[in-house]
Amino acid sequence: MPEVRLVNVTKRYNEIVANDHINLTIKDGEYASVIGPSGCGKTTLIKSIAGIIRPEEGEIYIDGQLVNDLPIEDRGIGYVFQNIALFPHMNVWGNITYGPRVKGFSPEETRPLALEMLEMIKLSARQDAYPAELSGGTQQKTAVARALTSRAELLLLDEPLGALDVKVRAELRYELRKLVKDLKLTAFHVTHDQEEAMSISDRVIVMKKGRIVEAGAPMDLYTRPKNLFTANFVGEANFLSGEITEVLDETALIELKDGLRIQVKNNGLRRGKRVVSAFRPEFVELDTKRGNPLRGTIVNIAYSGSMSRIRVRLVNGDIVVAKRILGVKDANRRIGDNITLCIPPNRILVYPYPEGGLENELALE
Amino acid sequence: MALIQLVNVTKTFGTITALDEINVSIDDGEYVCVLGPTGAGKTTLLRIIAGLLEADEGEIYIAGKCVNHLPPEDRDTVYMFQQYALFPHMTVWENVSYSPVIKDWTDDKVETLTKEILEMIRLAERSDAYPRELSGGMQQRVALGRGIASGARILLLDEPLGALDARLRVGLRSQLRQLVKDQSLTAIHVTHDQEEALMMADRIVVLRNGSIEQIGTPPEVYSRPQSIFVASFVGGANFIEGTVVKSDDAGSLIEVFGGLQIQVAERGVGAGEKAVLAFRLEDTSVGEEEVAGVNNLSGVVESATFIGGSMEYEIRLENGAQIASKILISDAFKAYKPGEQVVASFPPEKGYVFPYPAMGLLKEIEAI
Amino acid sequence: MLWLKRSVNPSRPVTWATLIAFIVFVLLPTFYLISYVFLSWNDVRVEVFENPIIGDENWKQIQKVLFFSFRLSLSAVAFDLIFGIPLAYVLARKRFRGKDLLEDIVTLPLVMPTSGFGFATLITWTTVAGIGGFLGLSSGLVPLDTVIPIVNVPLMVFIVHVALTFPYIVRTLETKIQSIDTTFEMASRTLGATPLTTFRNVLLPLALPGIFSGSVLAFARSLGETGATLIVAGVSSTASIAIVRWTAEFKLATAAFMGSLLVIIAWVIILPVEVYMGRGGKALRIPFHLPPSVLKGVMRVERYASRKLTRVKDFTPIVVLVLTVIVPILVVFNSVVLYWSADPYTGKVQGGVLYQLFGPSNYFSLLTKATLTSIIVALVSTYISMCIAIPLTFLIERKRYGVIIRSVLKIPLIIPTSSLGLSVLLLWGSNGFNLISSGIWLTILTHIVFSVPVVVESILAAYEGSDVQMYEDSARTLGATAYNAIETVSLPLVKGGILTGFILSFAHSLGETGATFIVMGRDITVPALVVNMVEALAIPAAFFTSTYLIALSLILLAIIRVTTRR
Repeated sequence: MPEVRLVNVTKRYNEIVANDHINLTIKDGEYASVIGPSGCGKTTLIKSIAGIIRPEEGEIYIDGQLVNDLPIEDRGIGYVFQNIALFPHMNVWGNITYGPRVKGFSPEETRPLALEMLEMIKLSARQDAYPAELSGGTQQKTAVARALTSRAELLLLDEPLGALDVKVRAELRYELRKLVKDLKLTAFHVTHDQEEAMSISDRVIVMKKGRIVEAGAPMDLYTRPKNLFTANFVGEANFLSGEITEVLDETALIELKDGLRIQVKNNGLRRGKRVVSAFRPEFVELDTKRGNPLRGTIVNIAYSGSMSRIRVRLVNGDIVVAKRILGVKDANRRIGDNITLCIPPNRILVYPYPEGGLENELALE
Repeated sequence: MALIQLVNVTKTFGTITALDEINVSIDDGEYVCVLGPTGAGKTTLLRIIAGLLEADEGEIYIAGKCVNHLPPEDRDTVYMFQQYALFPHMTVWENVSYSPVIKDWTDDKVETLTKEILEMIRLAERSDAYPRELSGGMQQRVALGRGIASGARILLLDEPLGALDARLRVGLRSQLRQLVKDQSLTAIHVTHDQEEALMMADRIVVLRNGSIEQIGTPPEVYSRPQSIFVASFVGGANFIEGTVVKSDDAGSLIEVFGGLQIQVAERGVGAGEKAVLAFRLEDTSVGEEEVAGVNNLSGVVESATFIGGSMEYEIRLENGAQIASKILISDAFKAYKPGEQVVASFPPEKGYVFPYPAMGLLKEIEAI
Repeated sequence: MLWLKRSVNPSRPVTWATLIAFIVFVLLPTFYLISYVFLSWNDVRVEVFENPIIGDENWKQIQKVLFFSFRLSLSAVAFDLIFGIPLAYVLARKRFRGKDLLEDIVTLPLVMPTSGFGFATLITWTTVAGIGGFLGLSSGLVPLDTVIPIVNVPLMVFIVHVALTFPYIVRTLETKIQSIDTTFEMASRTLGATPLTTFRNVLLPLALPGIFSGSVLAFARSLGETGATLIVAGVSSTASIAIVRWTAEFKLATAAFMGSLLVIIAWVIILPVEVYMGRGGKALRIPFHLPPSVLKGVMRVERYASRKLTRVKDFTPIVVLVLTVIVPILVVFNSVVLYWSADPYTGKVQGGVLYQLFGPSNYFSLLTKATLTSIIVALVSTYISMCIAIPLTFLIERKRYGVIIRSVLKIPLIIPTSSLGLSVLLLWGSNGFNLISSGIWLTILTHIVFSVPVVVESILAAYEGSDVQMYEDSARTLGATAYNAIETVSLPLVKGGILTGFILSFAHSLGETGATFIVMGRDITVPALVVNMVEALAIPAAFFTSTYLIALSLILLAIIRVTTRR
């Protein structure tokens, strides 16, 4: 039975439609993330499921039961907040046992649950510590444990890692997913960090301006995004606009600015159509002979540890970024050098040119 | 001559030592990132340079002059807060022109400069808007414009991209750096995001608990980390305990639990001593066969995670240790599934050896 | 835009001038009483403890009066807490229509003229012009000397003190609750706790510093309440009224001694609380635990109450508020109308408002003169106070000794106004500097003492609420001197607070009774006039004057509301 079902959920704030007829089903045991730019409505959505916000229209079902009129405390959920919200006047033990206590569990029932939870997050030695004495990451782990001690089966996470350092975030992600999977929970996780969502979820839902734009497995969203916004939001991408000039059986030809041409795979393309081609920087190769050759000059080389981003201005003025691990033979590349980028045709995605203009469609805020 | 110089700068708050004898020089035109975890003392450092805080000990020199007792308005610095601190009761125009007006420039000069800067930050059409009407990215640009308009040579940036969405941040990094370089300014940029620092800095100062762990260019800090902390914090790495069996011109041979011997090109720990072997996730390739000339570690894939553009594997080695590998996906890519037998390998030049830390390995690399 | 060039930095002289003004006009008067007692210890000792005529009778009187005051104030605060806590919660957390109006009603007692208010309460409960008449009785609802059993406190005095101290508890607690992140409560709810259980477990412990601080302020305010008490006290005497009486009887030493005691008590209570709050006011951890079975029952009650009793919980405090604050105002307004031309019960014209105002007693001319005096006092004292308070606020925010100034500033707000009046009288008058004697100037000086803290607190609230420090720092690094930054950035950002401070201080000054009574000499202010009228039994005139005063303060409050709404 589906764990969470949203039917036409709508919420408005004055003229702004935060949630616009959202229809979504999250399967039992699924780890689902919702990503989108600030203001896309993801926080409103998760708060509606929790009962903190009441939607104006639509129904919310948790485990088959309609919960619209159910108060927060009766929904049987676990909720993790961005700013952690551990009760400052209670120590770790007090915080973790809070849920069972207020739900009326007896001390005999509570103790083993709490001890088990502390074991799982490896904090048994610190049960007497107060939140202020713990590091940010530890605090958030405690908050997650607190949410789960009374055996809630639905975990709602509202930007849970947002207040933490980048490094801490990366480590806590894994622990979070492991915990959820070990306990066989359903998780609904909201974040603006697409990398976080991709690494942790079974399914990622992309939202923009109150609507769901696309949903799918991380790998699918990355390699085969169904629209331009997703292509830009999930991972980085290069976008080149042009027109389809030739269509053959398996391939098609797109003419870019100033007559530059690239070959792409043909899946239902028509001649004369205005399109945008998109491809990931990781698939752009340097001076190999495989795929569409595009000549240009290096405008910038940005080093980033293991890999570098090479920004190239093509001969027609378009900008393309390549992301590669620079090997020994690339060590002599300099800004201003000529270079030939090669993009394999099967890595290029083609989309119709958006009505509102490309910049508008790709806008991240 | 260095533009900014800190000599033995120390700052305590009650019993906490926020900065402990900091010594650093920054040259004119440099883009320096101060990198470290929360609580390392980065913001304290920035505020002391700005004059918003006074150092307890030590001297701060700007352009050769000791500025310890100079108030903020008389230093050649401008401070940008993470939340921008745009004056809510002033328009974009008034915010950007604030400094020239305060410094009593002629009206003509003020107008010319403000127009120029508004063009540069691409907000000329919104000069009458109030900060609350603008998006996060726009506010950030106004804050930058305001700072540049002050004519200060030194920009002090406190997590300038921190208030923005992750995806937006990545796009703005190069723009920010470009802007600073175009204006020939010196920037000190505080962040806890090591990728940001690697991408934007001419030099990185790694700060931890009030002390400097390492200063160097991004390639230096990344490829030649001087401590376990730096190796772990900047770029991340696999760490395995072991003992150095041999230390000679070829480097160090380390024996880890289970008898496996690994060769790294570095030296630094004497033979017979306990050590920690480190190698980066991105330098570890995964395949089905052993590769000649490199270190090979056999194990079983425990998890395979796809993170935009890369595949990250957690591999349980035969000796029980767990390592991770991160590989860019590309055309010649083969994905391995949990349970499969694989061989992880890395070349000796990509391995590091560190003395075993007194407080134990976990303490050094523990992020949470 | 800029008044001063960047090169000129008036910071130094302004700082010194402000500090000196602060010490002379605010600090000195507040504590002079204590030093007077020390300096004239012999006189005091003789008069109070070893009086040749009555022995230590005065000392016994002091004790009796103190105990009475303590009983009164403690019961008032207890009552305030019971109804104030739920009200503060509602105001802090909920949004509803009419919320602004409710806030204003809560603030009302802070700006209302105390004597006028005391009078209004008196007639509401004890005369036929009030509730009694409304219900058809032939006399007041309760007799004047009704006493509350157990605590042995007169009902009228109790009601007045509750009404006047209620805002201290509600507003302090409301501010505290607002500062607590709602996420904690939401977390508790998601963990399964009903709103009431959440309140008990999470909000209450975190808000305890606010309850503490509010209670202390309310207690001290009650101890120091003079104006309204003068009118309703009848034969009983609180500590602060005693000061007024003894001063009138020229028992200066006894009055001074009593006054000093009150100042010291106020200080002893406030200081620890300020220190505690200054350290961030950490939540208190109550080591007290209920046994699980009791707890289960408690939670079940909380669950029931959360569902069914919310309305009751929300409305009861409002009812209390209405009864103690709104009804008296309505009654006194109504009385003016009723008694306009003649006493409605006897028909005698001499019992009418018009007669009393324009007839032989000619209270009208007294009233016009008093109004002029009141307005001059209010304007001048407020203006001077603003000149001191604005720079003082910035000193508090920027300097290390600012914390001390802030704590000290709380004192004039809570010491008995009569003590304050006495202190100022002694300081500037014949027993001290001998510069100024009773009269309008002394009144102005007295009003400055409590106006400065009012303005400072208003500005500080705006300053801290809007994170002005960050903007100032930003401006400084952009090249503005401290003075520039304040002028171009901080002041515009806190101008709401300055305006509020101005109006609050003006209104307070208009309505102040206790201290003014002691120092005014022959320059009578309107609130003091009310007291005189009541003592002379010119009741209709008192109706008019009280109405007049209260209406004035209502208008001022409305102005605050309109200007801060923006």
